[in-house]
Amino acid sequence: MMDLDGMFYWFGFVVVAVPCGLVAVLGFSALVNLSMSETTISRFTQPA
Amino acid sequence: MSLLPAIGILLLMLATGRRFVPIEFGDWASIPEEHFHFRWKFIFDRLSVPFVILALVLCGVVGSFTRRYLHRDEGYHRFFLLYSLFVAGITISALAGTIETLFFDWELVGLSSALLVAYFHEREHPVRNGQRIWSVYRLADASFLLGALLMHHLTGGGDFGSFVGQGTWPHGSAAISSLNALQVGLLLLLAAAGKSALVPFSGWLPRAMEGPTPSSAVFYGSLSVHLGAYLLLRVNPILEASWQLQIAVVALGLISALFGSIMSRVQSDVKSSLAYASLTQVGIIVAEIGFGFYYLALIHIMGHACLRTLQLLRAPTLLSDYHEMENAIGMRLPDSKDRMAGLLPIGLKRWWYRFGYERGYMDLILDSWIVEPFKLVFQWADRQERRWTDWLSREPSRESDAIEPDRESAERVA
Repeated sequence: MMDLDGMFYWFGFVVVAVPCGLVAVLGFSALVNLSMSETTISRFTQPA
Repeated sequence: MSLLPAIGILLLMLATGRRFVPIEFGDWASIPEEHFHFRWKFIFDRLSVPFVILALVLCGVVGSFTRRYLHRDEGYHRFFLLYSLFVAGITISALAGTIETLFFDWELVGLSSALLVAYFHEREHPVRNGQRIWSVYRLADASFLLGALLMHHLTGGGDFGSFVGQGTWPHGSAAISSLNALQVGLLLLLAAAGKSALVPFSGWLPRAMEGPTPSSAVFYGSLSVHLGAYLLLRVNPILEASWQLQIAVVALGLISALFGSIMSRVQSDVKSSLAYASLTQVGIIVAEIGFGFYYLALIHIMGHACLRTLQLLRAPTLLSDYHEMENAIGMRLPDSKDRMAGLLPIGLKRWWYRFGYERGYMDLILDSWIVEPFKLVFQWADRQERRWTDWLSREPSRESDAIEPDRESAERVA
C-alpha cells in the first residue's frame, strides 16, 4: 500500500505535469504544422 | 485531469489534518559558487489548493465554452496553444513554493495574456494593445525580479518558507526585519499592481478586452487579474512585519476600488465596464489583504472570479438576455439610478463623469510620467553611443543611418 507522502507526491506531480504536458503536445503539434505548411515555407524561401 | 488529483489532495488534507504539504522536484538550476539554488518546489496549503481548484474549474469551463465559440475560427489552434500556456502558468503560479518558480510562471501568464490580446493580429489595434500590455507587464515584472533578487540576497534562497518563516498559511511570521520587509514588500506590491491593473496601471485593462471573449473572461475577469492579490496573500507575513506597507496596500486597494467604480459606471461598452467593475472588486480584495482579512480575501477572490467569468461569457449576448428577461417578467427592467450621484453638485458630477470617461487619464499619466522620461534617457544614451562610435571609426558608424526609412510605415507608426 502506498504511503501518504507518496500519494501526495504523485497527486501533486499529476496536477503540475498535465498542464505542462498539454503545452508540450500542443506546442509540438503547432511546430509540426508550421513546418509542414507550404505557405509558411514559401514565405521564408521565396523572395517577396 | 489535473482537477481530480487536486481534489484528491484536498480530500487527503482534510482527512489527515495536514495543512501544509511541500513537494520538491529537485534543483532546476544551481550556481554553487554563489550558493544559488533554483528549486522546483510546490506547496499545497490552505491558500494554494482552493486557488488551484478554482483555476482548473474555470479553465475547464472556459475551454469547453471556447470549443464552440471559436469553432472554425482561423486561429482556433493558436488560441488553445496559448490557453494551455496560461493554464500551465496559473497552475504552477498557484502552487509555487519558491519565488523563482512563481516568477517563471508569472511570466508565462503574462506572455500568453499579451499574445491573446493580440489574437486578431490582422487588425492593428489588438496588436498595439497587446504590445502595450506586454510593456506594462515588463515594468511590473522588473519590480518582481528586483524583489526576488533582494529576497535571495536577504535569505540566501528564494524559498517562501525561509522568507516568510515557518508556519502554515496564514499564520507565518516574517524572517526578515521590518525595514527589509518594507523594501521587498513595496517591490512586490508594484509587481502585483501591474498584474492586477491597480492604479496607476489600470489603463491596460480595457485595452485587454480586444482579445476573444473567453480569454477576456478567464484572464481579466477571473484568474490573471487576481494573481497580484494572490501574490500579496502568499507573502502575507511580510505585510504584517511593516505597518507602513500595510497602509500602502490598503491605500492602493481603496484608491483602485474608487477609480474602478467611477470608471465602470461611464464606459460605453459592456466588456470595458465589466473590466473596471473587476478592478473595483480587486481593489477591495487588496484592501482586505492590507487589513489582514486573509480568509475573507481568498473567499472574495473565489466568488468574484466565478461571477465575473459568467458575466463576461454572457457579455456578447447581453441585449438578448435583457430582452428575454423583460419578456419573462412582462415589463421593462427598472432603471437603476444611482441615488448617491444625485447628491453631488452638477459641476462635480460632470467633472467625475469626464474623469471616468477618460479612464482616469491613466494612459496619459503613464506615458508622460514614466514612458517619456525612460525614452528621453534611452535617446540620450543612444546619442552618446553614436558620438562615441562615430569618433572611434572617424566616420558615420551605423550602416542603418544610410538607409532611407520606409515613409509609409514611418507615418503609420507616428
